[in-house]
Amino acid sequence: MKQDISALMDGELCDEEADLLLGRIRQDEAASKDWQAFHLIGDVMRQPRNLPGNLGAGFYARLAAEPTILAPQPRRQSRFQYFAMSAVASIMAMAFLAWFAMHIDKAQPDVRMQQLAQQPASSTPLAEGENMDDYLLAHHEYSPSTELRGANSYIRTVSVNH
Amino acid sequence: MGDREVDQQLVERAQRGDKHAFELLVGKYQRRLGRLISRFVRDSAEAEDVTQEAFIKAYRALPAFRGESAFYTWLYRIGINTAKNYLVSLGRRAPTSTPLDIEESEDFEAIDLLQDVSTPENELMSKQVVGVVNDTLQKLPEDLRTALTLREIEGLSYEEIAEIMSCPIGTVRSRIFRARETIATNLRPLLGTSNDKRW
Repeated sequence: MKQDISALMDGELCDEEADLLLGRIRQDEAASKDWQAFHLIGDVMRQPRNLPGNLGAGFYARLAAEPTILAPQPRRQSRFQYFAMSAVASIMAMAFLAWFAMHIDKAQPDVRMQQLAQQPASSTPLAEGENMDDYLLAHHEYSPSTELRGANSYIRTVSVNH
Repeated sequence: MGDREVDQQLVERAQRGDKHAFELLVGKYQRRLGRLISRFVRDSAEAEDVTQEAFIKAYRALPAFRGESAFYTWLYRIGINTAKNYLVSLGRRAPTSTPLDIEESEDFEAIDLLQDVSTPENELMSKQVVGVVNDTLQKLPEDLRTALTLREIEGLSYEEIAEIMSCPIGTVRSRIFRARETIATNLRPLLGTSNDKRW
């Protein structure tokens, strides 16, 4: 454990190891003293002159008397969570688009067919000189065969009469 | 996990109500903050009071710490403000400081020239601690002393030390620990022996 404390203060433990060790140090007074002593050694080596003493027991009593703080924690996302959430969101978006496209393609003709079925069939023959091409051209945008429904009014159509 | 991440993890633990995690941060930074404050407050007893006050203020302000800056930068800023406010309350003028002072305060050797601060008892204890550390360091095997010096003085990572010393990272880890443990063993008779357990 002491060697782990030494590695922890040098920033050489991975997150999980560090988290586990910090939890153990909390429960072990000797480990806390090792932490203090190792840091003292580093401080002395870096700056041996003007070495302030450790804060006294009065400070720790004062800290103990302070109300314990409980701050809301920002949720930390791991890299795996980040990519997993992105993948799920992408799949959901694609599934929704696929469902939406299938629903539109199938549902709209059905509704129209039902409406048409309720209407009595017209058997009025075309009048003399009336052109079927004009009729088809005027109603072309309702044809279920086209994938450009609704946009036909913006498309210039050219037809030839024989 | 680097040094800053270790601090951040301790801060998050403290923010969740773990006071002991904050005590570990105090143990780590008390001397550095004490040195910084002694640039403003020259009397050692007053400097210690201000250092205590700065840590208490930092603890109270901990919920507002979001980790945008390093913990020690944030702590040092609190320390400087606390010291300046203390001097203002006494009607003294605080020396000017710049953000650069905060960042580089640990390396500010001139601190020592400004000082007269120690009480005889504290000075004696301080000399004893420094003496034990230096004596033990000199008696350490060469490979242990080199590994610890490269880490503590040069601030190199284990990987960099391993490259310089041509040995595995695990060996570096072991050498640094053994060096620390040897010095700490010699220090223990001194630590916690004074009346208020200041060492």
